[in-house]
Amino acid sequence: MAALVSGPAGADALPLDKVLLTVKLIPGGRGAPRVLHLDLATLQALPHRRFTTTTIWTRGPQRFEGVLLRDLMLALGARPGAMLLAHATNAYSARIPLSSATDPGPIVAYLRNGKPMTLRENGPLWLVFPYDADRRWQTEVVYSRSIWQLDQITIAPGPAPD
Amino acid sequence: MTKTADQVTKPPEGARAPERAPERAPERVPERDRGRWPRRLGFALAIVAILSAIGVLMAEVVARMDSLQTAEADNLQWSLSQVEVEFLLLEDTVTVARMTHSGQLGPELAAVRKRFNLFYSRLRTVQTSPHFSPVRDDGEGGAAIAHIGNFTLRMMHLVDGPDATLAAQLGDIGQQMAVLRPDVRALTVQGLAVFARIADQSRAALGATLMRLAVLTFALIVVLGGLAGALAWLNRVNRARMAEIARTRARLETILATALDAVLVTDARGLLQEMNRAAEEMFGLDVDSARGRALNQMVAPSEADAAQDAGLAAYLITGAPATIGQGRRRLQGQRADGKVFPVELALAAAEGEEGGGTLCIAIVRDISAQDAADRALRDARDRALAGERAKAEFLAVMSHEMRTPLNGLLGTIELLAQERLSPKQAEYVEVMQSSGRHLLRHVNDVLDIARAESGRAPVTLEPVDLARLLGEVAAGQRGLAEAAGNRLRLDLPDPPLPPAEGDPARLRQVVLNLVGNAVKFTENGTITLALQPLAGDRVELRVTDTGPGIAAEDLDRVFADFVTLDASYRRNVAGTGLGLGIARRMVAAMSGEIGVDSTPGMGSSFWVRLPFRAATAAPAPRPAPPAALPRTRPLDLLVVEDNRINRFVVREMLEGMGHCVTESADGQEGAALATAKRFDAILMDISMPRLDGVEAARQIRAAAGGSGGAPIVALTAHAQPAEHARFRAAGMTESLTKPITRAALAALLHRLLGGGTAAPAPAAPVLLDLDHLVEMSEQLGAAFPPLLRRFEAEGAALIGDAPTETISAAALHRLAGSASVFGAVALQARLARAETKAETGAEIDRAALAALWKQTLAALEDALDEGEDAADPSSAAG
Repeated sequence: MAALVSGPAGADALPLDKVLLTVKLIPGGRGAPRVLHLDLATLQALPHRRFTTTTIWTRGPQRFEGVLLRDLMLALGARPGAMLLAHATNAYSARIPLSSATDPGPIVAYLRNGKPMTLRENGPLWLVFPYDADRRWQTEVVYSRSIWQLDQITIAPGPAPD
Repeated sequence: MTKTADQVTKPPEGARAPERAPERAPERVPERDRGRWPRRLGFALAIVAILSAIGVLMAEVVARMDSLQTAEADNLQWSLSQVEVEFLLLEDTVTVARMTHSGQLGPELAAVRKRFNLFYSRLRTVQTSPHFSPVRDDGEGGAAIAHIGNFTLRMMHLVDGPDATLAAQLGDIGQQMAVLRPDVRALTVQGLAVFARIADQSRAALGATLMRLAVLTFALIVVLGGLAGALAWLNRVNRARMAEIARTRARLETILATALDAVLVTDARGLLQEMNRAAEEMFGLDVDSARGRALNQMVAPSEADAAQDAGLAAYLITGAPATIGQGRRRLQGQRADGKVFPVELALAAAEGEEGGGTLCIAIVRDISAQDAADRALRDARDRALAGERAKAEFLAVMSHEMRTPLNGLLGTIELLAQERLSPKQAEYVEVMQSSGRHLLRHVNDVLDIARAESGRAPVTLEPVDLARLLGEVAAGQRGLAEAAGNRLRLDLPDPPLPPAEGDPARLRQVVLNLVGNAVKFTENGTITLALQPLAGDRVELRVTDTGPGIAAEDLDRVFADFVTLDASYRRNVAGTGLGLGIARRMVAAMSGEIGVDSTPGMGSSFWVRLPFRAATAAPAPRPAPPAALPRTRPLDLLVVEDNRINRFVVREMLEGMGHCVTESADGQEGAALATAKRFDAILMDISMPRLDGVEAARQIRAAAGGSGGAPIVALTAHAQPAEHARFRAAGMTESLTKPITRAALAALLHRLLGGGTAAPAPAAPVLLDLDHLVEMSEQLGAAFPPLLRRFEAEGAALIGDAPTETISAAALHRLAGSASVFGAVALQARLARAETKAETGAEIDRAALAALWKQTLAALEDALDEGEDAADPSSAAG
């Protein structure tokens, strides 16, 4: 993990077409933002989670597999109280407080029904919540945060981290 | 949302709380509230129904709210609009690529491909997600999706194909997209319309649910309001009832507190719970320290009560009130200091508090004062009765004691009269004899009263012919009545009454007293003896006179003892004033009534009304009296008599008759003599010291030898029939009532040992009623000799050898009356027949009358000669 976030150099080394997720880490204080590029292998290296749920956008139960958003963010150096700004390929974006990334909770899915997702299939990354597991994940706010075709997350320090 | 639910569900819970208050009411007045249960049940059911309905509606609202909460619609619209946005972006990208020079087309084609993929992913969502099925099912929406889908499939082939093909087709794609734009727009618009409709429907459904909820809530409020009102009303009623109960209780407590009787309340085991002030004072306890004390320590049955009333005893002993009965009982109370006092106790069981079992309420009254008063009253009554008895006893004893010396006097006078006396001495003796007989009659009257008072004169019932009884009395009194110029009439019923059950001795005395009374007070008048049956099995005897009558104010007094109404009568009439008193007592003893009607100056009418019971047997015929004083052979006699004078008199009389007399002074000596020697007869006094006559007679009879077979004659003073029976049972043959006269002695001895030389022929005609003669001579006393002389003169003048009078009915009647005075029954009967004949003008047999007159005179002379004691002393001279 330390290697994962060691610096832009490592990330820059990745071929661009392999990059699935770009994470922009804005530190608190005056430090310059850091940009991290994550590919499928990196994501798969992290502890993965799997759940089956229905969504309002698909037909029938879907099995999603990915990394817990919380784990990912913490691994990338997000501080508690941070605010995430998630972007989709079609320039959709949503603000997600890190505190709402619970365990169990949203995952950054890279497999749907055991297969990688194409762009047409709302992939390659889909921020999904276990909607069926809890009614609190069936609200509009949660739906608005369920970003498919996720390609970038900006991590900003929260207004009052502590 | 949850908040609203709370608001709706909470009020009922709050409303239920006050409901508990009235639920307590049944404890106090359970029977009244029972009727209220159906109403309560109705309320409860209504509330339950409304609450269930509200619950169901709540669940529905919550479900709808949930579906709103999870609302996808909003997001779906966004997704739908995104299809159009992505379509327009794709179209833009395609347009840019078309205008780009073919050499630099590579990046533009990549952009087209990316845009297409994005558009595809959007469209895919609309095509597959179940949430979009309303749009897909919509006619226009479905068509638009189909058109767009067709285009997308065609373009997907191009996008997935080589760059050249894609580039070549860009123009075509652009045109197709331009054509497709209205469809895309329609999809968005139509989708919006569909979702708007769905939203409307769901809002309307929610609204309806909420409306139903509101209506039900309102109904619930109304019901609860009604319930609250009913509860308030019930509460008021209960308060009023409790106030009433409190007032009643206060009143009861006042009553109990001020009650003079002790009120004790015990529990089922008989242990004291409560007591009132009177109880505290009565038992010397105070309620706080006495609580828990057993009732049977305070009130105990006497042994007799315990035996009589097992239930009560069981209660008081074991304290089990199940067995107690009702009613008052006399028991003994015990104070705390051990003092015992009589109480009256009433017990009742009462229902105690719920679960407390039965209570027993005992009301105890201290009856010490009442008992003391009762006792004092009883003592006073006993004393008074004892006084009365003592008086009667005293009178009886006194008269008895007086009779004994009187008998001695009379007997001695009789003996004296036999001696040769100068005419003056004879006159003195006659006065003494007359006075003595008067005195004896008075003493006998007093003795009769005393007997009646002391209840020693039982009524003896036997068949009586009342008409004959009246006739006999009238016959006996006729002489006296006619001597005073009175006519004595009999008024008997026709047909005659059958014989009645009665006490002939009493009846005779009552009638005799009444007739005697009438004869005393009437001069030259008429006395009527009437007999008539009354209704209701009663019979009336009436004696009416034409005397001076009795003043109205004196009518009540005439039957009192010792009453002689007027001093002037007293001069004319001798008497104790006891005759009517005796009659009254005797009539009362026979369950009859006696009374008098009188008009002063006109006369009096005494009546006796008696219950009439027909006799089952015929009346016994009266024994015929002996024709003359009989003579008996000389006898060897034993006289047992403790009174020296009486003994002397009897001996003198018997020896005068020529008998041999042995004397004995008491029963023991007499019995010894009688067993030692055989006497012809024994004359035995009854009351003697050491051994009385009855016992002596028994011993004589028990002894084998001696006089065991001789007749024993009881000499009694005024004995009653019952006593005669006793004497006979002891073996005595006959009774002779004192004072003893020569005539009676002679007749008795003749009857017992008769035979001798002059036994009378039973068939001989009865000339004289000797008993009557004796009686009359006793009654008339000094008046007897002149009457006799007058009778002799009258008879001689009318029917003698040389009659000087013509025979008239009146003269015959007068002579018949005189004959009856001297017991000349045959002559009286013959004269009465002659009187009837004279009245009718028939022939009278003068010779027969003259012969009878001679016989009667001879018999009279004979009787008076032999029985001078009973007749005129002057006959001794003549």
